[in-house]
Amino acid sequence: MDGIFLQQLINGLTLGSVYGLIAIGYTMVYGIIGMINFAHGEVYMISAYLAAISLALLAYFGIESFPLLMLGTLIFTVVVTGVYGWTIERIAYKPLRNSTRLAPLISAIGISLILQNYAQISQGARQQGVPTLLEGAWRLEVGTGFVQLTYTKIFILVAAFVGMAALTYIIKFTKLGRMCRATQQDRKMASILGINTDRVISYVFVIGAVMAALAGVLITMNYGTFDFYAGFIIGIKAFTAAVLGGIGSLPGAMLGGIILGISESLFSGLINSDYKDVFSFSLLVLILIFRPQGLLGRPLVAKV
Amino acid sequence: MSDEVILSVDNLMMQFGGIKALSDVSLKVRRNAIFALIGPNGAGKTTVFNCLTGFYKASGGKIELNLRGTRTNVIQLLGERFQAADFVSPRSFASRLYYKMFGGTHLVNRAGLARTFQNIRLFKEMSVVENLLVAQHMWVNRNLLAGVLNTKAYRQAESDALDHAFYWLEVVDLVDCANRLAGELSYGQQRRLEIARAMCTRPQIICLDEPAAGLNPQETEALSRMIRVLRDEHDLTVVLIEHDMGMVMSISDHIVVLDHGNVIAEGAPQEIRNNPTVIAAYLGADEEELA
Amino acid sequence: MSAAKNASIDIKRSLVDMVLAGLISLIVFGPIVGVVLDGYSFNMQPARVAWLVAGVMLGRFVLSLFLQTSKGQAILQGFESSGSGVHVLAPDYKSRLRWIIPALIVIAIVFPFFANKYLLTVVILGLIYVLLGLGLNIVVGLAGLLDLGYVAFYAIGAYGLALGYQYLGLGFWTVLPLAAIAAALAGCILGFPVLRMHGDYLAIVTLGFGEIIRLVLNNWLSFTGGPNGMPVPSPTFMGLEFGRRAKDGGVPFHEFFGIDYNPNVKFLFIYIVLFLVVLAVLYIKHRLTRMPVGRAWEALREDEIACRSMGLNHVLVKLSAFTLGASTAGLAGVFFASYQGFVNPSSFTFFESALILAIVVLGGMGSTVGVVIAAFVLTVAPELLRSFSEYRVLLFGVLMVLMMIWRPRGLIRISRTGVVPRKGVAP
Repeated sequence: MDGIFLQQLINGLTLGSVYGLIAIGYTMVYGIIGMINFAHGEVYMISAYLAAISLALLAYFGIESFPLLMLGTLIFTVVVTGVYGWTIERIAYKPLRNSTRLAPLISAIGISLILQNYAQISQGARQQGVPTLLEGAWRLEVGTGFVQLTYTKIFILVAAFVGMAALTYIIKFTKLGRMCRATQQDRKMASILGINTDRVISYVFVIGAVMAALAGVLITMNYGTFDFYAGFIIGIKAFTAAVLGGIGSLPGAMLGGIILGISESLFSGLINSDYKDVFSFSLLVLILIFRPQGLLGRPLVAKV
Repeated sequence: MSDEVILSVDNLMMQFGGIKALSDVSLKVRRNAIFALIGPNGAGKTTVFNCLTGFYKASGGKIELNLRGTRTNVIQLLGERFQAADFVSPRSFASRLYYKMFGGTHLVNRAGLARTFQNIRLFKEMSVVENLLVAQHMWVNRNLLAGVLNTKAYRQAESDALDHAFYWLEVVDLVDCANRLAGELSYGQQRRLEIARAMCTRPQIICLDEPAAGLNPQETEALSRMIRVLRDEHDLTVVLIEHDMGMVMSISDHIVVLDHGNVIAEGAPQEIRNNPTVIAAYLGADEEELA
Repeated sequence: MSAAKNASIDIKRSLVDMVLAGLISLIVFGPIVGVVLDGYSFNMQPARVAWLVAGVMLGRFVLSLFLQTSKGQAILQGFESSGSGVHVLAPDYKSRLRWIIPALIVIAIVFPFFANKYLLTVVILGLIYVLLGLGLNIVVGLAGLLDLGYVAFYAIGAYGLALGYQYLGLGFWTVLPLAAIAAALAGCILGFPVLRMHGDYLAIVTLGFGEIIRLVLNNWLSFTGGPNGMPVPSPTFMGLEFGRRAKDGGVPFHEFFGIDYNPNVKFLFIYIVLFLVVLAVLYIKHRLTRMPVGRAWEALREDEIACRSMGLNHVLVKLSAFTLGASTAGLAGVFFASYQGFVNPSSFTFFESALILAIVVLGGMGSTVGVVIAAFVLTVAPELLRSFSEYRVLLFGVLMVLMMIWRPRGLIRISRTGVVPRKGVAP
């Protein structure tokens, strides 16, 4: 097998697992209140800044061991991003629960603009970066070439997998997960049964933000650079992943993310890297036309 | 199918995922009749309705309308999956592609079937008259150029549409409300407006989904009179779902009873009233007891 | 209402609200605002955080107190009852616009005699955004379709002129109708498959489409010149050019009419043509809202299922709104390109779409007058307040969120025309 092909496959797998993490935020919010949270990409962007800030702070305090750095950064980023998710829901979406269909979408666009400009004003428009934390790689000889599997990539794959497994556990087996599923099925009935659905919706936003935060830490580790505009493109791609897997379905979001990541990597590695974003967006349009319910989603029956 | 039968349903089947909502429903509606569909909650009445009116695509069976002198296959209008045979015969391929691209619920209405909704669906932020004008969309002058230039023919068509709208407002006794927002009307008025709006599409069959729900006895009585007027004076066939047994028994010519997605009885009101299967279905008797 | 009794103000509650808001804002603003990254190290900026947190706390405290007063309660209840604010006008109602519109036209005719070049260009830009706002208002305001890639059709118009000139030698007047058609066609191709699906998908697909167009313009160096952009020819008047010297030995405009050369004439010309086009679009929009198509758009926005049950092909009706909106953007693009003299992809970012959306949101969904005012406010105000330009996008965002919470239908109350009751006639 061709070395480049395998290399792109691995790159795609890591990239895709991170897309999957962000896609979870889209898919859960869509599942529960039927709305596309356009600001979700920006939440990811904020978390990338938070990760870099936390790394800088920890380094300033003289912490240099990788596990401690990672643990500290993860906790800090996840908590603060979670608060972001909660605040956004509270300010921009909750007052619009009974409004027209367009209102929350436009409000989400507003939040997205606010977050971009806020990051730009407070941190400057320049690209930001973090140092490489995990040096070294495995090299595998494959046929004529070789494949490089950096430790960073391995870490990303493991962390993304653990994150998804934890979330699946929460949704499947805990009380919170049961409440989420019930609210998703029938919000009115769930609230009649004594579930505080407003609070569940808030939790869902926080969970989405936490997953985006995890993704933010991981992508920042992998690429090392980001700017205030980073959330926009990744946001659309993660949404593509969510639609590809079937919006509203958790395993779908993960599967969609991985498929999108791999196909994008292959496209950019083997065909043309300038047009890789065009490729992803075109994929989104094509899926929506030919299989709007996605891979694992159920076809929607309109309620008459 | 004789000309007398205006709507015929054969072996209608409907599945949602793994749930079978309708297993085998067949019925025939005669021209100029008042036809009632009854049954306990969850019997599949609304599903039948949604299949007839083209909102659901039936999983199996056949629905044929015989309106305005043509026979219409409702399921075909909604756009079917391509069959292997289509790739051999370009003509059937083209027709299926056409219905896949441009087909849909609206064609059922254009064939001459109108409906109302259980949970009233008016255009709440538009005026009462505008609601009726929208319903006449297919009958007015839709030429963009004529409208922008405000030509004589266009003004005439609009004026005719207004005449027609006010005619139906008179029938449902809402002329005084013509310039109010539809959302401001009382519940009973909204129900009547919905019927008037359906009538403005100039149908030959009207399907009423629980028209008496939420009405008081006087209003129900008035509604019954109106339904009879529609049938007698406007040459209309009425299909209705209703829970108010008094009303159903008094106005229907023919009743079909559904339970668990099957037709369990049909006939004139008198026969249905005394049918033991129907009574059992409503009172929830066990099937063993019936046998 | 027994507001007087309920209005006893609970300061303790407000204080608790204030402290909570302060804590949250400290967590939210603390890291991002307070720690500014600088390479791999950072600078602390605690003062900014303190100001922000203090501002949020004060704001929350005042808001909390205000909402406990009877006036605040009334506003709160106003949100919950979600009064739509729509009303039907009496049949014999005469709009004040009867006087305002002729007055505005007179002002618009007199204006160029007093304006300098700078003022003229600002007004041209304002009019371009009026055009864009009107087009998007058909899509978002009337038909209720959220189009987030509207700028793509604008780009098609602008690049249509640049590319048409470069490769085919087409001029302003040929491209003007062609751009409208090309944008409409693009809208049709994009809209037809997407519009049959759940409404929200349209938003994300158009968002993606806008990005695709921008990326292609940016990356296709050999065809579009990439980020460097392309030159655009000046418009001509009956084949006469506005430059000091005409190309290929022709006679320029000023020599033909025997007047002194004036570099403003080009902008004056654009202004006049643009103004006429805006007037035409305003009239067409005014007619459309009263025509069957306009009624169908609004009906679809209200209830798609009911529309389908009445024989309206929802896909085609939505498509007509989408393509009409797109073609308006195509027209605006041609004007923008000739006004700027060159085009490059950075004029067609998502921010531009967001700005146009902000115009529609502020001006009011479906309201023509509101959109015209909002377009001028949102394009001219930033010109005047240049020192705030870095906060411009932030303000748009805040504006969108606040408008959605406070007045989702826009500032201007929407009215529907009434009709004189008449005797009905059976069909």
